Amino acid sequence: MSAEMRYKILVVEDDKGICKFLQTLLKANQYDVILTDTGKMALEMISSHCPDCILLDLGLPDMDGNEIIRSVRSWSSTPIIVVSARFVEEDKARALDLGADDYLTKPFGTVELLARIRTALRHSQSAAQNTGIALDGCFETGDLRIDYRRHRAYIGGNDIGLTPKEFRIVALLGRHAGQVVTYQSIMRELWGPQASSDNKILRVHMASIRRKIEPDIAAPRYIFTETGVGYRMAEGN
Amino acid sequence: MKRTDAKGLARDALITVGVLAAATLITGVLARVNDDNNPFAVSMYILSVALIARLTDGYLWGALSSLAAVVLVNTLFSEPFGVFELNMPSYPLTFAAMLLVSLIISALTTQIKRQQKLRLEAEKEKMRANLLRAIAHDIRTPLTSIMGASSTLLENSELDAQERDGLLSEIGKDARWLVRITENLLTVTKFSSDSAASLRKEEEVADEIVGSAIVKFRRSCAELAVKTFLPEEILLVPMDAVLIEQVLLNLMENVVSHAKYATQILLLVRREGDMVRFTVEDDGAGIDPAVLPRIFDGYVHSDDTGRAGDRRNMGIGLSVCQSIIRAHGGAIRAYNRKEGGAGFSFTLPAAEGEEE
Repeated sequence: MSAEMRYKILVVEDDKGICKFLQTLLKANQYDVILTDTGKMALEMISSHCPDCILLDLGLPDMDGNEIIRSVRSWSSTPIIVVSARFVEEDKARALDLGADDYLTKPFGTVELLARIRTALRHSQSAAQNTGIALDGCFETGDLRIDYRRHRAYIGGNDIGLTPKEFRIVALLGRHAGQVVTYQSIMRELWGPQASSDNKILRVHMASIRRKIEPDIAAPRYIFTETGVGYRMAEGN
Repeated sequence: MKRTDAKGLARDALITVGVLAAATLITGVLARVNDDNNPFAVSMYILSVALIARLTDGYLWGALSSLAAVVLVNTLFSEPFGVFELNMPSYPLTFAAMLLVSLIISALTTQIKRQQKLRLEAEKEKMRANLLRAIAHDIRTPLTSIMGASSTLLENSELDAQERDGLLSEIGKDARWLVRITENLLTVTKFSSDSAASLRKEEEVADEIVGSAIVKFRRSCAELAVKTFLPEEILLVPMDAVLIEQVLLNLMENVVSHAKYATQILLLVRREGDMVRFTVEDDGAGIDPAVLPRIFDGYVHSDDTGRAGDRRNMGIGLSVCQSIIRAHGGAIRAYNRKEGGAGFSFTLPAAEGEEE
């Protein structure tokens, strides 16, 4: 895409204060912004304006935000970032499993918001695949290198000896680098649709992966835990 | 006051039958030993009626038992034995006396119970008021500073960039502090009582929770170093991860806002038998020993701790920590380290023998 091309972002939010600061922030960062405060208008604007990214507040006055996600996903893959004040972790996981690309909990920092938007836009361009992976079959973040052709992961050039299951988890997170992947979707991907809802096995695998890739387990650099929701791989280099 | 649930009813019926049976047995034995029965029988049954009235709820069981007692005395312990005789003039009187005893004692019991309940409610109300006062105090302070900073910015166009940035970052800092307070408040609403019912427990890896708590801690205040000592083994601990993460975060932020001269936080996790112990220590000025016993009460103010260098108090935060840990079946305590500085440590029951 050319540098002059401006991305259009639809903000679906009913709080005036938040709308105001989002509009100012996004405009200052060279995005075009369209605003609406109802779910009904949002659905109309998504089909008429074709935004590049949607910032969606789950708690709208006229309809449940999850309904909007479901409805949009039935015909479009426009990235949706859920912005929610909901406190319960299951709600976040549910929105993600319905097809939202990412979520932010209110209150959020502007740096974080802009990073999420950039990630979502990048993912939507290179279709499900990460650009790096599409080009040379590798994903790199920091010293971690995931080689999708050889099914190997390296830290600073050294093979870290992941088991096949561990590699598949890392590979999945790498494909969605920068985005949170829910426990449920990892379980489904690796253990099939009948996977139990008990994520203990996943936790144990993750603990073992961390012991292999993280220099300091207490301050993870590559894979972050979104407590109660899922895991997030650091952005690619 | 009447308990309507079946369990209470069954309990009361059991007490009534049991006490009457015991009275009958004792009177029977005494009658056999002493040959004569009259001096004991009536007083034994009055005693049992009094006991029943005291131990059961409401008036029903006491009244029923006085009726039963009269029938029992009449049939078993007075001539003619084994026959219920109504035409003896003393029995209506005995019955009336027993009934009166039962009614008086039931009335007293009911009154005492009502007073206890009132006192308990008053205490709860007092605690709630204290908590609300602590919260209002916690919220008002940062709000004052936010309002002051924003109006200073609006009304003084001649401020230089550095002054403006200073005020703006102060606004951000205070807002983040308010966020922490609301998060703790939301947790308080999850815990109406110290029940484990509201927990969403899953087996979590201890270091994963420590890691995510530290990542969150870094996001809000990156200055203070955190040193961790984690076990090599993969420790599985059943817990509500979101809540335990909040406990760790509260304890670390408590160091930032309260521990004077602290330069680092030490975070330890280790297994102790069938429990896992998490410890958060600092090398600051320590906790005033006078405050230690009531530090988890929820309304210790920095004004009267004499320890805090900051105007904020962590009262709600610490009391939230305590209710979370208690609901998990663990314990939390605060102490001063021998080497100087404060320490908080809590335990959680570990998963039973399921390491991989």
